[in-house]
Amino acid sequence: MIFFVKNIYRTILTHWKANLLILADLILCALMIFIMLQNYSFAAYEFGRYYGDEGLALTYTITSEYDRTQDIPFYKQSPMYEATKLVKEEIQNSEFWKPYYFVWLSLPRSIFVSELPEDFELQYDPKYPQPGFSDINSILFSKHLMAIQNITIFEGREFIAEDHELSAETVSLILGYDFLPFYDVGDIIIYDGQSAKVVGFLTDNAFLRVFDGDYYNLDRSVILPRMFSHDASTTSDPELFLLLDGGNLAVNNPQTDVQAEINKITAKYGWFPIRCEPIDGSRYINTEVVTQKNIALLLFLAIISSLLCLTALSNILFKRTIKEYSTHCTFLLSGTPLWKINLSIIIEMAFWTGLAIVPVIALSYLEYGRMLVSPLYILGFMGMIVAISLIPVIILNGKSNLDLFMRSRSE
Amino acid sequence: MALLKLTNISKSYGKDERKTAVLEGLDIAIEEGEMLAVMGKSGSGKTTLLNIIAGIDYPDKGEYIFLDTPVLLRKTSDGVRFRRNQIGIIVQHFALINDFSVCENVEMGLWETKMSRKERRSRTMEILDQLEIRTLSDHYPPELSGGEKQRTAIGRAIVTKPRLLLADEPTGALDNLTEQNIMDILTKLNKEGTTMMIITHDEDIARRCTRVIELKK
Repeated sequence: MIFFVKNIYRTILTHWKANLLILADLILCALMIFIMLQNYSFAAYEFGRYYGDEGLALTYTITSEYDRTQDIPFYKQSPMYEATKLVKEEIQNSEFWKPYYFVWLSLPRSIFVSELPEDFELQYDPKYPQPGFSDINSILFSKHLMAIQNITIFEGREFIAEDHELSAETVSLILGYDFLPFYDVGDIIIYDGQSAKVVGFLTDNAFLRVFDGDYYNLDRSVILPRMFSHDASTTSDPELFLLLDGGNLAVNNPQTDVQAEINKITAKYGWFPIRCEPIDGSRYINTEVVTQKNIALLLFLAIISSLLCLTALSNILFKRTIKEYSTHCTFLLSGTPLWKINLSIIIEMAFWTGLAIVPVIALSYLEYGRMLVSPLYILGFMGMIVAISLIPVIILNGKSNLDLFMRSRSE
Repeated sequence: MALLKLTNISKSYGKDERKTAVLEGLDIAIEEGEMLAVMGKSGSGKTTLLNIIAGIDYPDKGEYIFLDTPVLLRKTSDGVRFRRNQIGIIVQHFALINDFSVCENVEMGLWETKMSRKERRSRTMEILDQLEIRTLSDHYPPELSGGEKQRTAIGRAIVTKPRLLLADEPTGALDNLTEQNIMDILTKLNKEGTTMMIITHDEDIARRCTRVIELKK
């Protein structure tokens, strides 16, 4: 123990110039490693955020980009009409997502029972809040929507596949919770000569998620599975329009490149481009190149800067050890083993390395108020660099030749 | 009783055609309490002999017995251990560490022993008193004269009470007066029971030893 204390104290003072250089080199190295690791952790965090499931978009809106002043592909006379149906069918049946949509409608108050309070329709109607408007808000729900948005039934049943068919004679209705005192399951509502049957009631405070963070209360809304009335003789096909120009896709795997998959479908039928936009989380595809390049660049810079530090450190240490040659021989001559001499150098370098990360810790606390990268990581990298730079020194010490030392000035 | 015995020792340097034999079939024994002077011209193998005895170098051939035990040194660390326990060495250029005080340079020989700090300090002071350099204990080698440096080196060599003191031209770098002074110290140490072997060119020094051998090429 006494040897280590005396020898380290001696070398710290005797080689103060070399030691200052070593310390400066190590501080520089620690700062570079810190900056690299800091940036790497940021980049890795971003990378993880985009490539991991967390934070990735789960829902996309799709909008068809056809020229609205020219050919409307949803019209029956359009040459694209048949292709439009195929595109919609393929989007609906894709294994990558579940499509859904909703359409705001309104039903005249006169078709409902007169017991409905006067202000029944006003409380939650976002579009027509002014008094005097007396339509009841209704919303057309596509297949999958209730399941995807977890909208549940208080009484009765949900829509079944047949409810969404245009051919069904009776339209099924699900009413909001506030209709419960006025209607029962099985009641019939007549509108425009067509009968609609109440099949269920939504739970209290059921909400429809319109956009990310925008919810609409359904307690006083009527939910329809399809258009209330359908005139087959019209030139347009509103059902066809529904998904392709304002629908949503709930992806099964958040890492799916939705735009690429949609592009494949439209290209297959020569249809108009469909733009896909995430409405929650983040887009997957654009971040890929940036984060990967950042990480590669940081890795490259870290290797280059570490090599420069390593070369400088190794050089200084080697020259310092050459100056120590006769001292080391004297130690060996007086019975100090070589491993102790080497260990003494290693301990001293550990001391300088520990000292070198103090500015890094100070910088981190000054800048961020805490250590974003563990000091152990920095010490690990520094330790590797110092260990490699010590190899030539250990080899040099191992070649200490006492025979030559004895003869050096004696004959 | 022989402290050490070298039998049929041979040592050469270089390889193949450049091979030069330095020692060939050397037989030598050093008795306990003896003060042996080894003389010879440059290149006769004096320092090689000292290095072999000190465990710094190894003979190519022959047997080395120290205190009735064969000395088999296979690694550098074996030599270090052997020296630490048995041998004290003094060299012409003193081999002092300039960054250590006189006291630390002497005490250094005890760092590898199991002595307590107090015991180390006491033993060191004893040696400094013996060599009359106690007043210099806080001085550093660059502040000392040649004689004072050599006394410090002697102090470091004898502080562990070695069985054998090896001195390679111990007065080679000193003036006549200082040389006599150092030889007085070595003679006194010998009379107190320290066995020593001195490598020298100087016949005056050899004359003060109990036995002289001359190595020839």
